[in-house]
Amino acid sequence: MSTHLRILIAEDEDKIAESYRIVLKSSGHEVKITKDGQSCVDAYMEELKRIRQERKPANYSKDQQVYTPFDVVLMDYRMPVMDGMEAARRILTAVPGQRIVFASAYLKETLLDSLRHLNRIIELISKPFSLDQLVAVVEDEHLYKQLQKLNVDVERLKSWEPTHVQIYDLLNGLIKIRNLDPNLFKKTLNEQSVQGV
Amino acid sequence: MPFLRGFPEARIHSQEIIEKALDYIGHDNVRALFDHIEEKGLKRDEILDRPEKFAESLERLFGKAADIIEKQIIMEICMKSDNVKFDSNMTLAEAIRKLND
Repeated sequence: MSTHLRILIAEDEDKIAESYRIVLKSSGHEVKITKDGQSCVDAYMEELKRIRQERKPANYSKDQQVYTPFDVVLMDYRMPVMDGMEAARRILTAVPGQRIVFASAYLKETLLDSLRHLNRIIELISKPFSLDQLVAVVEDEHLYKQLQKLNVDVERLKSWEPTHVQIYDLLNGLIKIRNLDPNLFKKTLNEQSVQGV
Repeated sequence: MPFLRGFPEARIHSQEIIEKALDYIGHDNVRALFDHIEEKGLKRDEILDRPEKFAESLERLFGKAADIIEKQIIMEICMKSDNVKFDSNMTLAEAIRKLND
């Protein structure tokens, strides 16, 4: 994976956070760790303010001026001070296009909670997961594999550093024009994460 | 190629530039894309005359990914045509119009 991602992590258990940091950094990504929902929101807003001042579009979309200070926010569902759902709500209020991945052992509860509080289905990685799975989800490897099955030149695509939403939309568009059964792809997607845009 | 404007060879060449830019999505997918767009009322050989409709179709089909697809076509047009100079603000429709001029 050649893309360099900026990743914000909210995880209250130091050892777990450190293992995320080590594996993601060794995969070539930039990682910032926070210990609870509140400090995650604070770190996010601080970075958002900084890039807006610099007018530096981290991820720029032409039809929607979206500045995402981080490519991915990886959020623990249950955390002290402020839980992950509330932190996600605050971040998405500021930047609706921000990609957030929840790490949770409570799949059903997290999904229902996301619909109730965020009005959307969120991406989810089911705890416990291996560090390899974490990297795969963050780097969208599951989506790239599906694109490869459809004969897309994935290495060329990666060289343009597409965002998660762009990869997802490309896959959906190809499924549509090829008249393929979306359920066959959804099944694979759900093995590691639930996609929501 | 202004001197060739309107000549079938020039139009075929222009169409080939656009299709070449889509190579990376795979031949079957390119064919499916043009079939799909044709079903929605835009024939393959009309793309040069109705580039806005083509851009709209890409955006409707591919959402945010249309941005990547459009940029690759624009880059290919700029590389292959002497008439079109790269401008980061140029839209796909503008690039195709210039290619067709």
